[in-house]
Amino acid sequence: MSVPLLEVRDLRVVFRIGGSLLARRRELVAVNGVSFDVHPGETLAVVGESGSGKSTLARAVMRLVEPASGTVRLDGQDLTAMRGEALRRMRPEFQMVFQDPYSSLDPSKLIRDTVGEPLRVHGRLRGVALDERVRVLLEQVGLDAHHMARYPYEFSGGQRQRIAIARAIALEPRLVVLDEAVSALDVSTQNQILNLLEALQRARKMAYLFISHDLGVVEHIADRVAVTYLGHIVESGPAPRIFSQPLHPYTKALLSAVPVPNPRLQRRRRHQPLTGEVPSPLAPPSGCPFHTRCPNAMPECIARMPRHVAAAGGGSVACHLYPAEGAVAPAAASTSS
Amino acid sequence: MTAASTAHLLEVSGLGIDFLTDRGWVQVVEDVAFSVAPGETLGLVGESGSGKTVTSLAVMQLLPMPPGRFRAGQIVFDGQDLLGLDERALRRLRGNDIAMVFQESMTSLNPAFTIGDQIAEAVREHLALPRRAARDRAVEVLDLVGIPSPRERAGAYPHEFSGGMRQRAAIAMALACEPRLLIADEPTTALDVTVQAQVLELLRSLQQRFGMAMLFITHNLGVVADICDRVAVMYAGQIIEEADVETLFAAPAHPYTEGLLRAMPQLGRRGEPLAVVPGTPPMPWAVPDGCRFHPRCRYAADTCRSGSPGLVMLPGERPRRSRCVRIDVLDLKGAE
Repeated sequence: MSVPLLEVRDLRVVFRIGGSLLARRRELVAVNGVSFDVHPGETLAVVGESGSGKSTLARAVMRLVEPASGTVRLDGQDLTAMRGEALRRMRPEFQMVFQDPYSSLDPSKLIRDTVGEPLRVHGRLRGVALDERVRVLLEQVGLDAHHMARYPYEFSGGQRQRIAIARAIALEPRLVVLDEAVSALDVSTQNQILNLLEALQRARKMAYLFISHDLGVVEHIADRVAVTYLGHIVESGPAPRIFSQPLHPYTKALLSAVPVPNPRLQRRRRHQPLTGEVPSPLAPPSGCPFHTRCPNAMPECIARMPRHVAAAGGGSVACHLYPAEGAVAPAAASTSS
Repeated sequence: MTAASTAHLLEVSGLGIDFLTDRGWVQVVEDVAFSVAPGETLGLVGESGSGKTVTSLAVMQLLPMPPGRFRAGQIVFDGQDLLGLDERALRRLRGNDIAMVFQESMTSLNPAFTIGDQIAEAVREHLALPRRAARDRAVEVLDLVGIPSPRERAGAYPHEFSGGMRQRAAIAMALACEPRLLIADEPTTALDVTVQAQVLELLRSLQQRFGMAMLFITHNLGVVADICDRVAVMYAGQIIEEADVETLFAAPAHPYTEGLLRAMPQLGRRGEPLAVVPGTPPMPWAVPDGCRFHPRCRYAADTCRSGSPGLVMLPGERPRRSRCVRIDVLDLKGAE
């Protein structure tokens, strides 16, 4: 396998909550010792429910929140150690697209300025050459050049997301972090954007860190998948393996909870759903974070956190059901070192 | 289906609704007709702006007038036309016989009162129970929807509940007076998928127990496949197809439905582009002549570009209706 583009190691992000005369300051560990790689040109999907820490993870990779510990390396360079000008010089390499295309575009700016801003700020282009590049970018994301002279309110949700993508790819980044980038869109628009993302990735060899709660979308777009729960990655691996042979009880529960658009099949596969909800990250359970809802919980799950072991078919799983590297037939490649 | 199709609890016919906008009055719902029998779940499916929420609010008589106004139609509940009722009669009906659950339960729960007080208040208003009995009823329904230690939790405020628990509490409030019709507008859309599965299971078991009818509004075809008996698909303010759930998925009778099914990522193949319906739905003030879907339809022919096609019953064993004028000559593909 190639040299990783993005290497995340033992990343921890901690928020301090409250703190007043009456309330003690509490710690919320949003991301708790997470490690993964993203290789050039591939899509790693990070899936999870609310409170899983997946969005915080994305923001930590983008250096929008400060990690408490751990490292994020892009192309071998430690982003977590960079400050000021050094970080600014790295920015063109990694860009982000947010969920809500209504709040992520500046309503007072023309589309020309929104899309052209990164090129101008990084001193790449100006004047006529800048306009020409913006025109090409808009066409690449399926918009017309004459849209340059318009404001965001004149566009639908899907078109706005195209504009956000044009801005994100303007500097030809090698990594794009997409945080629930199609979740706010209707299904027909959503597919148009997913097809656009795939076409752009093929043309430009960009890697995607694709944060999503929608497993249907992830199954389609991801090369590899990392499943998160309460700040931990509990399982990761190649997308086909995760979807056909999930190992972690949480991954299994998550996949079986997604209703399939086929009444006969759906009514056959319905079963007792997982009980309870994700515990508060302010008071996480001891041991394995999933043990409070796990149908397979054992005494040792309460006592200690399981380690990641290699999984047959690729990737790894952190669950006491698979105690040793041999229990799940070991595979050549593990995504979490 | 548990009831004979003749004994409808809710019958909507010829419903037309206008909204006052910058561009004057525009029609947002046109010629909408459907019925729901006791014990049955009818899904109202469509993308944003298709008119499904406006239709459901109209049934509850909760549309603000103005900017809304009824242009035409009837909404008959248990033999009574709701459009002729005064506000007092409507208030008696809402909560008692017809209840509603919304996508974001924070909008239906008052943040300033405890969950138990709110449910008890609704019970007292509709069932004329004494305070203590109403309180007991509140605890009983909280227990029914699976809230642990319901007597203590009745004293909690909405913000102290998680999203899933709040939705359960909203369902408990809706069910406290044992309504005969529950209107659920995207009740699981804001929930995590494992919690969505719990809430769908809850609604299903409550329906079996009380035999209530459900009008279930959603954009999620997986949820439709899970909970609906029949489905009406809406596009640009009209119902364009209606069928029982198995028929709709296996053999759609409108190109828009086929497009929606083909667009489900689960049904696509890895490595191939996802199916798309090109373009976007029309704005209500710019609906095209003829079939409203024809500018986006891959099967459109000259016959589709004029007139105003009606929702027509199709021949066959299972009753189904379609608004496609070319349905006889099309061979549409389903999900299987």
